[in-house]
Amino acid sequence: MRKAFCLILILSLLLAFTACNQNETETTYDYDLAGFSSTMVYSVVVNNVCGINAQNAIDFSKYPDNVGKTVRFPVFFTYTVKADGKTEYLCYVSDCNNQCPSNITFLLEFEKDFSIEPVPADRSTVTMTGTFDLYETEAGSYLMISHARIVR
Amino acid sequence: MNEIIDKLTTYLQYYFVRYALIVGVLVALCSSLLGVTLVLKRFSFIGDGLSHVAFGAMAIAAVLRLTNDMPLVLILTTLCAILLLRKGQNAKIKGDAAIAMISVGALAVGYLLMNLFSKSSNVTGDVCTTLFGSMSILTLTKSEVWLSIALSAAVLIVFILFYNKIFSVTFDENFSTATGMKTGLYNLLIAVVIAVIIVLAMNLVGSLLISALVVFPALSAMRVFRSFRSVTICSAVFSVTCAFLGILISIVAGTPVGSTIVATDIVGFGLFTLIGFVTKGKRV
Repeated sequence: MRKAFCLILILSLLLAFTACNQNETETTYDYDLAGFSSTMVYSVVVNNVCGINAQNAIDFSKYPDNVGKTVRFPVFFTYTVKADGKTEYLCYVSDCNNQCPSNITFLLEFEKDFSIEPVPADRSTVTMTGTFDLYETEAGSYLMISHARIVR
Repeated sequence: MNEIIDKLTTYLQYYFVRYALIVGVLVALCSSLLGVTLVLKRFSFIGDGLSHVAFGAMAIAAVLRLTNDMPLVLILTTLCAILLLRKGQNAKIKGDAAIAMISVGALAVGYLLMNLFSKSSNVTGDVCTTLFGSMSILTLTKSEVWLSIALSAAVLIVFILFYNKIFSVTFDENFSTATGMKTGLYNLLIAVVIAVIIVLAMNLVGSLLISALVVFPALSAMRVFRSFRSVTICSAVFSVTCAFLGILISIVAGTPVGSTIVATDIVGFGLFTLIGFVTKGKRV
């Protein structure tokens, strides 16, 4: 009886530790938009991440605090092959179901140990995780996702 | 069902969703009240015409790089509304012809200006957003919400204060004039109020779909009710319900807000037509 009790106690403790461990390893994101509709994802990004300036254009400088914040969101995945033969991977969130070209595009910089093989189909919806970052060009600063990873 | 409720609860925590619901309901309420008058005065399509004028005015504001385009849009739309409603009856180019002319003229000039002079890198996106209101309602700022609340309150106060006069002008303008009523002044008032509603509604459904907010609630209410008061009240309730449901459906399903609201209006119209058919002869 005592042995059985001890066994149950040990098993319970093990189970509890396992559960605790699971909670600790579960990643939390500053912007967790997984499962959100495309309308909501676009709205959150426009209202909280980019902002719109007086000319009704996307303004990346409006929320500088977002640089370094982590995100998990459903996006449209796309890629272009540049003139030098290198492939540039991008993702975008789109308004009104991708009917209007008002998309907010992010350049993707994948995590070093992450392989995107097989590459998702162009313009397919994937759930992406990563960190908001800025990259500068002659035309201005644009948003990118660093440490990107496709989770679904 | 539980999943949808959970999603909605999460979505409602975002301030812009609450802003959209507040402005959407107010705009729907205002447009439905005046919609009854417009439908009865045979000016159902004026909303469409004026919204195109507002589009043209927005293009001018964009070209001039105005930080706040609302005053310019409001002034130009009001001027055209006065031109159509007040002078329309006695002008050489009457009613529908005048609306058609102003409507397509403003649309063409607006698009032309945007293409020729706009500094935006995304002209097509800007035009699409203005025409279909795709996401504007979900990207409102606090000041825009307060402005909408103030303008909606003004429209409601005007409608309640001048309810009897609007009623008289709507049903028999000649008789009202004969009894000494200043019909011209009240037509001017209606024109100004309509212009305000059009400018407000552009954020909600875009300029191509505004007519739906004006026409569907009034026509649906007329399927079931007969008196001016009951039609007006039913129209207001119908419009507010459809706008509220439309916004909720669009954020849950990820569909364009404006067209989802109009689709809800169409379903509501079908439902009211059915109710009107069943309760034929018992209308109040």
